Amino acid sequence: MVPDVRLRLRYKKRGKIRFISHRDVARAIERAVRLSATPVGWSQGFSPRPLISFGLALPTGAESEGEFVDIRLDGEKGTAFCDGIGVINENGEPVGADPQKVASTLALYRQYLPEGLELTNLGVVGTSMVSLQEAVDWCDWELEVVGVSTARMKEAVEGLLAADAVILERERKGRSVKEDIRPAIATIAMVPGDLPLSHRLDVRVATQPRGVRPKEIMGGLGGEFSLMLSVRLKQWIETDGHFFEPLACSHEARATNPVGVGS
Amino acid sequence: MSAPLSLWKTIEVLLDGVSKPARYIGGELGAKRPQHATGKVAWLLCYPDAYEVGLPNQGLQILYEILNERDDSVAERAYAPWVDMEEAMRNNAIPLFSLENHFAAKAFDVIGFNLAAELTFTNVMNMIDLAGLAVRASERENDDPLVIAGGHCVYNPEPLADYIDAFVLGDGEEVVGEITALLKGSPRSKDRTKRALLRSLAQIEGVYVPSLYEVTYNGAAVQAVTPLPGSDVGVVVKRDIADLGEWPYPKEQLVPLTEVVHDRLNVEVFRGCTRGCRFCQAGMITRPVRERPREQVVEMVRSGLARTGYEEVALTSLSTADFSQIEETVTSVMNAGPDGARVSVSLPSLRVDAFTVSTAATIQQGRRTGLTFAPEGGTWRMRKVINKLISEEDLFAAVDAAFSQGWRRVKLYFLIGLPTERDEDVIGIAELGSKCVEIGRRYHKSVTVTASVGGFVPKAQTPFQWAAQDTVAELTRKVELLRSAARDVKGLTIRWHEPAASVAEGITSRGDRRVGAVIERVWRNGGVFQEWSEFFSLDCWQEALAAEGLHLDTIVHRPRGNDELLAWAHLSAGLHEEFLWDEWQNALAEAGLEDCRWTPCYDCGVCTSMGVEHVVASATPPAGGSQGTGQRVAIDLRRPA
Repeated sequence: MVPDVRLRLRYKKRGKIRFISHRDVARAIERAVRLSATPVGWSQGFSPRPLISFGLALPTGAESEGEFVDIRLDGEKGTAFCDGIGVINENGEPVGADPQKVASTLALYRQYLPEGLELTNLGVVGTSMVSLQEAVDWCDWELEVVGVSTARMKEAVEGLLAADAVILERERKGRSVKEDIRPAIATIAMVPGDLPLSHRLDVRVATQPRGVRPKEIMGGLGGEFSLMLSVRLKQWIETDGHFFEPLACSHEARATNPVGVGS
Repeated sequence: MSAPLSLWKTIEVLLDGVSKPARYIGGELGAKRPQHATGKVAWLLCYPDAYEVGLPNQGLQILYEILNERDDSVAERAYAPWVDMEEAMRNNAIPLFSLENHFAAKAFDVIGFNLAAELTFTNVMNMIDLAGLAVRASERENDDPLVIAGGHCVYNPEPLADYIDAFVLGDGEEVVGEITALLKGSPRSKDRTKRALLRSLAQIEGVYVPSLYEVTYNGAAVQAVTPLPGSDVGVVVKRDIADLGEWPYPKEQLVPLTEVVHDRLNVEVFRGCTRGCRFCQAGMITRPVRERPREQVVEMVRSGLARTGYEEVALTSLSTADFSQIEETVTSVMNAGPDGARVSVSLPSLRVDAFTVSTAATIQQGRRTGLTFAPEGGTWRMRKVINKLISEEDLFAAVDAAFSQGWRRVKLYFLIGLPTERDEDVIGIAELGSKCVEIGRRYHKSVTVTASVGGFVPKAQTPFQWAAQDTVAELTRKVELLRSAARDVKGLTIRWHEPAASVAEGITSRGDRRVGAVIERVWRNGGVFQEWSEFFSLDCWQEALAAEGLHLDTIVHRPRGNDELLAWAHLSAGLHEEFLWDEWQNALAEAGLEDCRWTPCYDCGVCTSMGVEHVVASATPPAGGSQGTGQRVAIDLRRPA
């Protein structure tokens, strides 16, 4: 029996479509997979589902520069479908790709994806890799904050970083629980924004055991600021201090570790 | 006029704080990118309910495509903003906007509403107000957009007569072009005389301009509806397209980015129904039957599935099992998926007979969950009154076929509060349900039969337009009667529609112009989204009625006589009033009437007065089943149940 193959897609979520939910994105991608006649594998059981697994949920309203989805392909047809698409190496880069095949496969999916879900790269996942959801260790966010002076913003950021614990009320399975979000926040760097009283925060957060959402970071900062836009820039897998993405951006060379991980 | 400014940037900042923001972004597959320009008439097509309810509306989608295909018009869409979004919009002075270009509603030449349910009327007013217009038509300016409405509710549009500039009766495919042509010659400006424009508009067949008629009253009833001097208007007759095959719309059904109701491909297989159920407004106002050619149905399914990626298609109509060659069509449609993929077909309205079940079995090869039938009346007597001529043998044969072929759940739709109804008719619902459970037990250890009951609301242009509607107390008593009759029947579940909502629907379904002020009061008191149980309040309607000096007893619960001028008598769906009255008398005499598709014409008036006729591929009735086909019911309509 031919082993199953996993195809990984990387896409951006930008513009108006940022307001559709994770579930809506899943439906759009399932539709594209169906329309493209991808030889997808199916689950067993009473009502079979296509074997498509989505990565970490992106909050509704956030943009992203890099989201990922894995599609399990069916046996021989799947192998043929992936022929010429590079296999993702330990740096998240597809190797051995046939540029023409990659371009035609990208074009195939692009015609079926809605505007704003921009497919940027694809690659074949090695069989030993763990699922996307578990693999990603860190996320980098860019948060646009307005309506606060530089001094006040700085004070809030420093205050949060200096705190031993930042307890927030969070909804969990419909119940309100108190949790400390501080351990999940690795770094926050402040950059002046384009407009008066606007700031950009570059934040790195851990995803395990549970991630922190941009709105929760704002809550941790004191909450009186307006979060205009949050963009997930990167999702990192860390292996022995080595950082790489689940699948590199096509035009990008080796992934680097831009900010030292503090905590 | 020159292109307006997009409001997107100001809308965008609100969307982080509202529920389901995807309702406001547009961008659906199939959405157009209309380019506004001088000389192009701009339409804003509105559905007065939430996005997820309004988006699938096929009528709106058909007109959206037709208007965008023309080179002299563009069309965009808007739905009722949910209450949280409405609050955010009002707080930030953002008007009602379109989803394609995010233009303000006021930038359009026409704001058109689809009126499919009476309880959405408060949302209509809210949307006109959100557009930045005066809600009353007489207070709007010469250069304001024209506000028009179409859809099933316009067969008694009187409650909205003071708020809407013009109503369009019947099929909209042709008339939107005629309205566009007229407006092109009369562009919006301060100098435009609205009265003159409305007078020209009223000359288009099927267009009703209420402000050209004066209404006087005699107590609870209308005394006279008189055209204004020189207005050259009279009885307005609906529009019908003669051949559905000429209108293969929507060609590019909208595929939403977020979840909506009826999220599947919909292909209309025929329009109109002549089964003649006397309670059914849709069956009266959409005559005659016009089938789409079978090859076109299959082609629309094939191209629709390939374009949208849907795996399910609904073949829609008022009674799809009556489509000529339904079996062959279903078989072709099942194989119409791309690359031979399995297509799931749904027939939203099943006829009650074993033959229909075998069609259902063909399309549900896999999991067989539930099957729904609508006998509507609990006893044969009741079904003769409403002219839904389903014999018990047919119902039991259908249910037997369903259970024997693997279904475990059967749902039955009934109405209560029907004219001449006796308690035994209500209890008859439980008895039918109980017998269906017994049939099911022959095949399965555990079966569920659900009887779903709705309170009957008399509608304009039907034989029951003269009937008295039950009170909330009476409907509630009947529901209790039914529940206690069903209490000891294991496997039988009773579900019922809120009686208070049926009564509120009755206020608008047969109200006259005076009811407009009631709707306005309900709206001003915050009564939006009245179709939603979390917002509906009959008290709110009662208070508004009291404040206007009106009463439920006279509007809703009062029977009308032959000598009374009905509030909608100056509007016609093509049906002779004598036909409707005779049918009302037939109902009271418990006499049935056959389906004229397959039996000689009984002159309801539509074909003869409108110069149209049935378009059916098969001249013979479908095999099996007595439901109004004339095959068996004609022999003895008075046989015992």
